Amino acid sequence: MGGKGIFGPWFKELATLIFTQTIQAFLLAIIMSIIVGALSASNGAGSAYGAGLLAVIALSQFGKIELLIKNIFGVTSQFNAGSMESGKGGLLGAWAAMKGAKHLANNAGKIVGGTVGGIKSGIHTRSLMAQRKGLQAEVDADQEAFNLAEGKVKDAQNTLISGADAAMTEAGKGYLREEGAKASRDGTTSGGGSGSGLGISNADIKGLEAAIRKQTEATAKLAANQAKLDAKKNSMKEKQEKLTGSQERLKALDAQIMESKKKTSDRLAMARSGLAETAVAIPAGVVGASVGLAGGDIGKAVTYGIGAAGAADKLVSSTMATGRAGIQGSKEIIRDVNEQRGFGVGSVSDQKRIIKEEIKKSTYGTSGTGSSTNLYTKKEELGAKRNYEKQKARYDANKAANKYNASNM
Amino acid sequence: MRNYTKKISIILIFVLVLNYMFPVMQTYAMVNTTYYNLIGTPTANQDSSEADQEPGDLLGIIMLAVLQTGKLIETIGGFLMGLFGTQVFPWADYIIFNCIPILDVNFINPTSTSLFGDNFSGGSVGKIFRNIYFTGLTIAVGFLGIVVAIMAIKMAISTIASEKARYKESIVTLLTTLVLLFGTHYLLSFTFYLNEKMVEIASTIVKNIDTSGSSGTVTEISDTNNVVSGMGQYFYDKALELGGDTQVLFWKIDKAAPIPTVLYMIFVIQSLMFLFAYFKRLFYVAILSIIAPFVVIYDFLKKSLSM
Repeated sequence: MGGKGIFGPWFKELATLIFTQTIQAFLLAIIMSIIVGALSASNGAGSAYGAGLLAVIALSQFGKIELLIKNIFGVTSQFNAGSMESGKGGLLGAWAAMKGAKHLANNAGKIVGGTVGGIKSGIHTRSLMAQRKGLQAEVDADQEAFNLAEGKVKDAQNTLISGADAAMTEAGKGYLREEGAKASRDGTTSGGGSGSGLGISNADIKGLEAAIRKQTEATAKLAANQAKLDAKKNSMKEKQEKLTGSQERLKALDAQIMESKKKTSDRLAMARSGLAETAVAIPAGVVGASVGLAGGDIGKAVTYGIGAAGAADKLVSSTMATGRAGIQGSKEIIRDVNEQRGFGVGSVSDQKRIIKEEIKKSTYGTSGTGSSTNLYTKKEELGAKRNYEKQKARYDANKAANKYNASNM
Repeated sequence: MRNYTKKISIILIFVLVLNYMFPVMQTYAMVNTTYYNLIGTPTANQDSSEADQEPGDLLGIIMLAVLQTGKLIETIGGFLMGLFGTQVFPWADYIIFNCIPILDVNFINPTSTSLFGDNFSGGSVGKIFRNIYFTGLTIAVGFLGIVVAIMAIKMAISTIASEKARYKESIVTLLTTLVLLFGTHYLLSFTFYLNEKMVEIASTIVKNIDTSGSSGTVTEISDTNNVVSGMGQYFYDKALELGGDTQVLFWKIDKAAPIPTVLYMIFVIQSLMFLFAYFKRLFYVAILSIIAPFVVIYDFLKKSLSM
């Protein structure tokens, strides 16, 4: 039975597969004889290493020599199974699997490192926030002290002005009264002569003396008030310096808090990314491996599997990185706007408080010191409101006093 | 033309005889000593001390790390092969010289622990396979028997001579096919047997290599020092033997010779490649063997239809 039957091709394939082993056996026997004989030789270091090098070359060319002999004898098979070259695919697949396992192990490192790092940063942020609370209370106390000192200075200024005016006015009035009385009596001025012959009575002289005494007293009182004012101004300056120092420290702490929050956010994002990548990579890898296995090549199955897993991993990683960058970019824009508007450094989550502060400032007016109070709690808001009430009352009192003084001039 | 060839042959034989008898007519090829004569005693270091073959300390320790990496792969491979009943790493020489039962393709006369054997640790895969094969053979024989019977009856009842001749020819073809069917079975068996015998002959070449260290004499080697225990194991031991050791601070560390270490690693990698390849070969041979009866039947039908 010859001709164009399938028996011939079938038997050729089968015989090729079976006798591949025979060809390889003889080839291995020849090469091994050379190698082992060379390694056993001990007639000089040079010859042993030289023969060994020859052995390395011979063994490394085993696959090529096998193919050469098969081609000469015409015993090549379309499957090529049993040859070293077909085994290479399986080995490359295993190596790709090791690489893939390493990639997934990187994901594990991301998850663990991100979670642990995020927790540590979170704890650090909490401690910084606690410090901030204490520092904020200090700033508020300094602010209040400064406001009080400023109020006292204003009071002292008003007292000085109004007291001096009143005293001077009173003294001046007395003097003018006396001058007027004298003029009406004699028709002459006091500078024309001396003694009672000129028409100035003792009562007039006493009145003048009293007026001068009052003026002297008023001047002394003025000087005393001026001294008080200067002292209060010095005190206000000290309190202002202390307040400025506290605000600087608060600003620095805010920057630290923001950095710590960013670090926490980044670490947790890394952990989330690792989880998402792994969650997507595993099913993608299974699908890829199935595609390869369906094609009938184990080596390709692993390669497809690892390739699909790696591609899915990269896709998720880049998507999450882009998203994070977008969010971070918008946060930075908001921060820049806040800095321009004088709100100082703050995170997106603090925007409500910043807006509240803005409303409060526009409603109540500023305290005049430009403090960065952008992280108000409810308690702090009430404190600020009380402070404002006090200042308002003081302002109204000063306004009333000035009005009285103006009307009485 | 035949006379011409005859004359040429006679002249050639005469020249060869003269060449053999008179050395001056030697026509052996040799290197070109006219240009530069390099034939002579080599001037390499003749020191035969094995200590001079030791590698440097740093190279030796690096090679030791490589060697132990290979050993780790070997250990893992051996553990995995234990799942198939073979508690040893499948070295390339074991695979090629047909020492690994799981990779034995001879399903007609299998080893007890091979894939087709009765004691295979992975289950009764062999029984299933043999059942399929012999079932296919039985079906083919039965089919041919039925067709022969039909043809014989038709021939018996036919009265036209040409039809009788045609039926007779068909019966002859059928009988030939039947003989071929059984012949295929024995052909398969013989192919497996021939392959195994040739592989055994090749393995004896390796087994008789002299590793005692003295050059020139090829002798049988003792069981404690033969290379059949595994080429890889031989290279591993040789690497440590030639490497010596060194003192690092308070510790004595072995070194590994570079050439045997490289050979060992090549052999480990090649062994893994051969393992994958031979597993594939096993399944291909199994499938091709199963379809043997159907190949014969198909050819018969094709020939019958063309007739």
